[in-house]
Amino acid sequence: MTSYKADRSIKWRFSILGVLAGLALLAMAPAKAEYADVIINNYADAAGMRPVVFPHWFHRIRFRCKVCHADLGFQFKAGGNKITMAKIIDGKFCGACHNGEVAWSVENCNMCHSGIPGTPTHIHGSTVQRLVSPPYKALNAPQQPAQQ
Amino acid sequence: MPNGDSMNKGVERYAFNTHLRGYFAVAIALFFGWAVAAHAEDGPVWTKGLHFQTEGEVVPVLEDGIHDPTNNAVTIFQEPVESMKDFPRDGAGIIDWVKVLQKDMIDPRQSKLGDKDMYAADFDIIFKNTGSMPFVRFPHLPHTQWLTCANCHPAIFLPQKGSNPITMSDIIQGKYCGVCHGKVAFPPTMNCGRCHSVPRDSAGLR
Repeated sequence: MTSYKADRSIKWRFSILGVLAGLALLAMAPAKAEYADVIINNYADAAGMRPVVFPHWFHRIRFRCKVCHADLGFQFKAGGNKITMAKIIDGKFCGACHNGEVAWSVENCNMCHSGIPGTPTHIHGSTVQRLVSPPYKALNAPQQPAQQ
Repeated sequence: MPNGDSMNKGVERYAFNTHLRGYFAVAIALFFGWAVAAHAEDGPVWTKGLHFQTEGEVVPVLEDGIHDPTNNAVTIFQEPVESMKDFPRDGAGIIDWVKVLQKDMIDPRQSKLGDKDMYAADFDIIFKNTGSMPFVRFPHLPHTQWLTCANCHPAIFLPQKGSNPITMSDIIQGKYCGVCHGKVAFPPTMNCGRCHSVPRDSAGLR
């Protein structure tokens, strides 16, 4: 009978441990970026730069959608514009404004290239990303061994 | 004792059974702990990927999980929480950008240099093929205050009534309305009534 009582106390100790483990997991909630932040990692990782974080909210309180998506020719697709630094310096895409006249110019590398290395191209928090497709792969990401 | 062995077996079985109950208790406790934690971390699918707009939680740019905290430039970024804290929100708690614009809380430029104006179109489209849901009213006015005709027509929507076979499945997969709604505009998963806003005149499909 004594052994039975010992078992019961161990049982309760274990169950309390389980609840504590659950609470510890509960405390580890993931960090949250702003809605519609776009991570663009077509070429950056492969070139040894951080991926670009484009803050949609910051630009939309200053410009209507149409200015970039019609006048400057940005497609409605994360990573779909194949933006390179050469195009930006030529005054295309970001370079239409980020030229030192409308906005700060391309010398400020880390203002755009500010993402965590290795983050794939995607729109943060988008319905498609959450429910439908896995994160986009970089256009020139290292190929998987099976495809080589 | 002739029954010594069998008595010992009985004791072992008894001990095993009590252990078993203990394991069950631990397993149940762990499962509940896991379920609560998984719910907090992931939640229902439509609440995954939360952010300032849906949560109202103060997350500095440095700790948002996207920006590299070792990058010194991040410290001088404008904080979204401060910039957008007074913006009106819709029923689902998401920033209502149409109201933000109509209340003149922001004045986004209508061209790159702000020297040209846009042309707003003000007419509504009512979609009636909505199953048993209320009809959908598409208002051109708030859309053309942000966008120009060529953004949507004809690549995303053919500019003819009845020629676009829109379904919620397509929208959630990022086609039609889903090109913007669910990425930069309010998502289709939390705000049914903002589109499905016109009461039905018949019962519809059951």
